[in-house]
Amino acid sequence: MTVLAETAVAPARRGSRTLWAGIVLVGIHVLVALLTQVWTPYDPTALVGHRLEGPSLLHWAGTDRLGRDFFTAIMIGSRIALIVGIGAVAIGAAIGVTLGVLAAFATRLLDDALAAAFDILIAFPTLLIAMLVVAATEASLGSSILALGIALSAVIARLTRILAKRVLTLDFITAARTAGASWPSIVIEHVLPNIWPTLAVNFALQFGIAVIAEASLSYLGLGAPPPNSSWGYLLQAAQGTVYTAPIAAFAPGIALVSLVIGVNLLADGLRDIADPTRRGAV
Amino acid sequence: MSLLSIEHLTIRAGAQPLVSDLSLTIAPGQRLGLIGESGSGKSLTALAAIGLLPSGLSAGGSVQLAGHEVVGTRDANLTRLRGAVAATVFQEPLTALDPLMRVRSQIAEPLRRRARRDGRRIDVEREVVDLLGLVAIAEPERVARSYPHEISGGQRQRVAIAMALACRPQLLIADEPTTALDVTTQASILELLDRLVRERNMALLFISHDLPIVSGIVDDVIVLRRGAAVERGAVARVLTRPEHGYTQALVAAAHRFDAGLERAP
Amino acid sequence: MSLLEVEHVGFGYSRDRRTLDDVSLALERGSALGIVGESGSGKTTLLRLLLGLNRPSTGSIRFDGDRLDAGNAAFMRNYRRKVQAVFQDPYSSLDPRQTIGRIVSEPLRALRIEGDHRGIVAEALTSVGLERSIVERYPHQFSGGQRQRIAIARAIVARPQLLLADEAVSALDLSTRVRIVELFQRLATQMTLVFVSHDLGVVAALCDRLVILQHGRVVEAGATREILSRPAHPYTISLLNSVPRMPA
Repeated sequence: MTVLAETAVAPARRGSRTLWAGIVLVGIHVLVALLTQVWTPYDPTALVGHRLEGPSLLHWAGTDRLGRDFFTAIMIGSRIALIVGIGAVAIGAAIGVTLGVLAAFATRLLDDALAAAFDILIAFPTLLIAMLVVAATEASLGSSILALGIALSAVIARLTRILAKRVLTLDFITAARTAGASWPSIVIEHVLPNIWPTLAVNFALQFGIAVIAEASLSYLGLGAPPPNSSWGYLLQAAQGTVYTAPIAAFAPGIALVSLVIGVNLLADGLRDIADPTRRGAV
Repeated sequence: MSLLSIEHLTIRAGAQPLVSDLSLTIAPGQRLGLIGESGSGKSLTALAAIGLLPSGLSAGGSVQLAGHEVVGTRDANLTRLRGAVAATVFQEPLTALDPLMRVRSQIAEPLRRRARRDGRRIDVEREVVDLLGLVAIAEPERVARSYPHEISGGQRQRVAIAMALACRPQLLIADEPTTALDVTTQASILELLDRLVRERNMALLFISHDLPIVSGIVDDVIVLRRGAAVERGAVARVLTRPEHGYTQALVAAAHRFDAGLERAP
Repeated sequence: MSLLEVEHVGFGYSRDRRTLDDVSLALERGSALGIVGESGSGKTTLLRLLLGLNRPSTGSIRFDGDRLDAGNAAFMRNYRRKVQAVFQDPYSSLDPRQTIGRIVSEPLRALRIEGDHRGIVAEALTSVGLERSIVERYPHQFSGGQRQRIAIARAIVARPQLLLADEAVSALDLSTRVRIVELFQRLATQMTLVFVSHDLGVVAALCDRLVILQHGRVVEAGATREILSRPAHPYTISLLNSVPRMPA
C-alpha cells in the first residue's frame, strides 16, 4: 500500500511536463514537414540568389554554394528526418519484434543461437552495417531507410526477447493457457501489450539513433542525393564555409538535436500515460 | 533503560497515516510480538526502529534505540547503532542476501565491523564457519563457499540470521522470518531463533501475521490494525481471551484452521 | 468411474532424480481432494500435468474415462471447458494491462463459448462476492483478496466440472484467507475440487480426502480425518508436528 501511494503521487505531474515538451518539439518538426508538402519559401532546386549569401530578409538562412535557398533545405530536412526515423524504426521493429518473440519461444538451442546472432550483429556499429547495405544497393532514401532498419533490428530483437521471456514466466500467461488461449492469441493479447511500454521508449531512442546515423551517412556522401537531402548532407556542404557562413553548419545541427530530444521526451511522456498502474490509483 | 522505546510514532505517506500514534518499549531480554495483517504498519514500524524508513515517508514522534534518538537522525550516526544494538532478519531470504557475493564474504562484513568496533583482530574464516555452525547449518565450509542461489531457502534464512547475530546485537528484530519457508523448515528456524535468543539473552521483536507462530515465541504481544495498536498484553491472554473485536476475529480465524488439526484421542 | 484417475505417473529429467515417481490417485466426482507437499515435493509438476501443460514421462491421466492427450488441440479445448485453475500469486495471475471484464471473460473467448459474455461475467463476479461494476477497472486497484476472487471468477466463468487450486490462499492475510476458503467451500458443493497446499490447516478445513507428497512420491493417502488423527508415515507425522498451534 505504501508503494501504491508513492507512485501515484509523483509521476503524474512530471509526466505531463515531459509529454508537452516532447509534443511541442516534435510538433514543430511535423508541422514543418507537412508544410513542405505544399509550400516552401523557394523551390529547393532553383538557383535564387547569389552563392553563399549570409542570412537576410529574403533568405532567412542565406544561400548555399550553388545559390539555393538554405532555409528551404532545412525545412525539407525535417520531412526527410521524420521519414527516415519512422521508416527505419518501422522496419527495425517489424523484423526485430518478430524475431525477438520467436526467440522467446524457441527451444534452448535455437534460442541460444538467436541470442548469439543478435549480439554479433549489435557488436557492429550501426553506421557500419548501414554503409554495407547502402554499398550493396545504391544511395537513395529508400536504401538508407532499409539499411538503418536492418541495423536497428538486432537491438530491438534482443530487447524484445528478454522482455517477452520475462512476461512468459508470469502466472497470467499460465492462466491464459489454462483458459484455452492459443499461443498466437497469448502473444497478441498478453505479451505484446505488456512489453510495449518499454519497447516504445526504446523505439524513440532508436528513432534518434536512426536520424543521427542517416545524418552521418549523408555526411559521408552515402545518403540520399538532393532534393531529398537530409541535414547530414547540409552539414557536409557547410564544411567549406563554416567561417564565412556559420549558420550553414549550426542550423542543421540545431534542427537535428531538437528533433531527437523532442522524440525522447515524447516517448517518456507517452509511456507514463500508457501504463494503467501510473494513471492514478483509486 | 529500555533497548527500544517508541513513543507516539506516526508515519505518513503524504497526508495518509500508515502508522498512528504507536508506543511500545522493549527491555533487555524481553520478547515482544507485533501481530498485524498487510497494511497494519507492522513492517514500517520495524524499519522505523532502525531508521530505515523508505524516502517519501515522514515520521513523527520518538524512536530511541538504547537511548539514542533515531527519528530525524542522520544515517551516518545510526550505523553505529545498527548491528551493535539491533539487527534485523527479514522475510525474503533470496533478496536479503547479495546474489553476487559468496556467503562467507557476506557474513565476514558484519564480523569485521564488530571486530573493529571492539578493537580486536579476528580470524575471519574460522569465525564465519563457527557462526554457520551456530545456526545449525550442516557442512558449514561448503555453504560458506556457496552463492545464495546455490543453497536452499531455509539455509539462506539461517545465513541471514547468522549475519544478524554476527554483530552481537542486544535486540533482534525479525519481520516475518519464516513466512516464505516450508512448514518443516519453518519449525526448525523458529526453534533456532528461540534457542539463540535465549542463550544470548537478547531481546526480540517478532513481527508476523501468523498467530500460532507468534504465540510460541514471544511473551507479550501488540495487535496492529491499519497503523494503530488495538490491543496489547500477555500473548497467552490476548490469544485465548481477546478483548478487541478485531483481535477476536483474528483469533476466531486462526482457530478455524487450527481446529482441523485436532487429533482424535 | 472416478472423475480423475492418475495412474503410475512419472515425470523427471534424469534417471535418479525424478520430479514425480509412480504417483497414483483417484478423484471422485463431487469430492474435495487435498494434495499436500512442501517445495520439492512435485506438487506443482503434478498440477501442471493435470492441466495438460506438460506430458507425463510415464503413466497416464484419465479424465472421465478418457486419456488426457495434451498434444491434441481439439481434445484440450474440450478438456479446458471442464477443468480450470486458480493460482497462488494474486499479483501475477492477472494481466495488469487488461480490464477485469476482459480478464474474466478470457476463457469464454478462448474456448469459443457462446452466449452473452457480459452477463456471464457479471454472474461469475457476483457469485464470488464482487460487484459487476468492477469490469472496467484494472487489477492494481484491488487488494490481494479481491484479486484472488477475480481469479476465481475467471476460473468458474465457463462452469468447469473440476477446479484446481494451487496454493490459492497461501499469499493471503489470515482474515482474507478465511473468507476465500469459505468461498471455496461453497464452490466445492457445485464442482469437484483439487486443492494443492503445504498448509495442513487449510486443507483440513476444505478437503475430505488427502494425498501427501514427498520428493515426488505419494507417501500417504486417504480420508482427511483418518490421516490427521492417525498419521501413518513418518513424514506426515513430522508435518503435523511442525504446524504451530494456537494456545488452548
